[in-house]
Amino acid sequence: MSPELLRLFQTSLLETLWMVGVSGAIGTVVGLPLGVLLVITDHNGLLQNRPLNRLLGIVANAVRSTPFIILLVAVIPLTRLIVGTSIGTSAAIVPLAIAAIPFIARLVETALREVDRGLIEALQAMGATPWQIIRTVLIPEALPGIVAGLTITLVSLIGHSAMAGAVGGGGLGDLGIRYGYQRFLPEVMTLVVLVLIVLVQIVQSAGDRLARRISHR
Amino acid sequence: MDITQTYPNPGGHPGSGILARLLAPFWKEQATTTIANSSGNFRREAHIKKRHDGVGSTAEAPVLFSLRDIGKTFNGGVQALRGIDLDIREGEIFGIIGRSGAGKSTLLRTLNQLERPTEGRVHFEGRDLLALDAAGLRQVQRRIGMIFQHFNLLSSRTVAGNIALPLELAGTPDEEIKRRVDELLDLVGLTEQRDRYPNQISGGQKQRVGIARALATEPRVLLCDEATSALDPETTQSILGLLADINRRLGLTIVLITHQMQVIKAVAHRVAVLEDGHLAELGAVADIFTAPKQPITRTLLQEVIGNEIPPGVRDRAARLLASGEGRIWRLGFRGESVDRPALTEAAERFGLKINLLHGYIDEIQGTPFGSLVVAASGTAEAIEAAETFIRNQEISLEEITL
Repeated sequence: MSPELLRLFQTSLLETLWMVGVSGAIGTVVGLPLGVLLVITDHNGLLQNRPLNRLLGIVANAVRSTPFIILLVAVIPLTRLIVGTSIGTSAAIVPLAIAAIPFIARLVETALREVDRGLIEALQAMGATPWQIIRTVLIPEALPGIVAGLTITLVSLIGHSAMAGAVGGGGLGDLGIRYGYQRFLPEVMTLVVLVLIVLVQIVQSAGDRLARRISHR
Repeated sequence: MDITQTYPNPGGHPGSGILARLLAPFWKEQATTTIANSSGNFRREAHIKKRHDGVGSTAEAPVLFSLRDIGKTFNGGVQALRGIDLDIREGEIFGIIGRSGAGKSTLLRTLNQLERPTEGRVHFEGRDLLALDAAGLRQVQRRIGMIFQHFNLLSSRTVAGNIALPLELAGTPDEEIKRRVDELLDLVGLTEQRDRYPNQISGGQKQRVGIARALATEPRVLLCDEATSALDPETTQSILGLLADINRRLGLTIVLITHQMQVIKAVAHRVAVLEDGHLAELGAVADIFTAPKQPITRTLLQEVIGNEIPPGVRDRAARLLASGEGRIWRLGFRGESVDRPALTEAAERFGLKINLLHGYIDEIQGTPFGSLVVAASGTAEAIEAAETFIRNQEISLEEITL
């Protein structure tokens, strides 16, 4: 493989890591509180608010049911507003983050629902405020589940990032399509797939290990 | 003069805490209390701590919880509680017993407002809990500790971390938290387990952590929600022993719910029997055990004292009655009357033949009590006279018809 191609590989890998890392981080920062909100506003929740709960649920489902490739182009006006351009790696981060937010919110919601109601009751009996219950019980107790959920999110973001080529976002997937498929270089395609496999393996096993380490169930 | 010399134990050092009170000789406790109060560690009023004898002293003690006409109807229309009137007094161990679904758990939760009754009033220390706002209620809840059947410990925190939790919530300074946690670990005998996680300790140890956690904010009362139901008999005894000890030494009021009469018998001073959401019977444990009035109470007592006459015995007694002579008596003994040879004396004096059918003798908090079922045969006059004689010996006599 030529040195230029290798450099291209390196750049693409970094682009992928950058897109996945930033959109994952944004997705967590926004998705985690949304997940908490989905749980506490639900029926018999700490701060029950059915209309808000229903609205959040509908929005989350709507975003999650939009195919990513469509989302990618559908949010172009918003992307231009935020990043100033609709092409490039940074531009791809916006739709990736938008897809990640409801995904993470739902996974966090599931993890939080696993927390024993008895623990919440114990805290209420101690005179804890809702915020104290979220901070000291809900999130710490659900943390292994949340970490597992974030791992799943990262893996699926790696997959989604391959479509970023459609808006000139670069990354490994884009490299595979342009060189491996369109220029008939099967070894590039093979290598792209291999690198992605390794990447996913690393993310998944690191996530699993972290979840195990913090779990004391 | 150096002020601190006046106090042998200044500034809230570990010696002034619960542990010190537990280890301190009984008669010196008043002094310890004064010191502790002077260093600002103990808000508890001195008069509670003066009462350590537990049993029998509660009748005149001030009312801690006062429940009036409590009713609770859930959203689905299920009526869990109705018309419950109760006073729980300072320093007593108050038991609430009933079958599952009788409403005991709901009733316990009205005490700390985890359940809001739909009717009636709950007063704690004279304050109407239903009139409090959220912040006011949280303040009160810190004075009411609670332990649970399934312990409800945070799996993400160590033993020490769990005990520290209520103190952290209350905004206690770190140093004070550390001191209190050490004290409480010592109180429940878990110092060695302090850095373990709940999944690394046994059920009995978990409940000890629960107790330590509940006591962290120095509550006035401890609510126990089926606290021993998930434990084996031996561990149950040790947890009940710990609760009784805490009650005796700290004068802490304890309200416990259970479906096991055994638990009531082991620790409670007074007991309320719940049936289908209403109060079936209420009284001192010794009274309830020796003279249960309601069928539900008798059924529940079955578990510990087998009041029911076994079928074989019943058949024999029935044959005896059918033969036309004699009567079947159920005799209830309590306290000193247990030691009286009244039955033998009655037999000799009135020329009766006494045939023992069924019986037991047991003890509740040092008071012996027992029941005998006997067949007495003789002339009608002799039997009448013997009945009067026995009743005069402070023995309850009930004629059983089969």
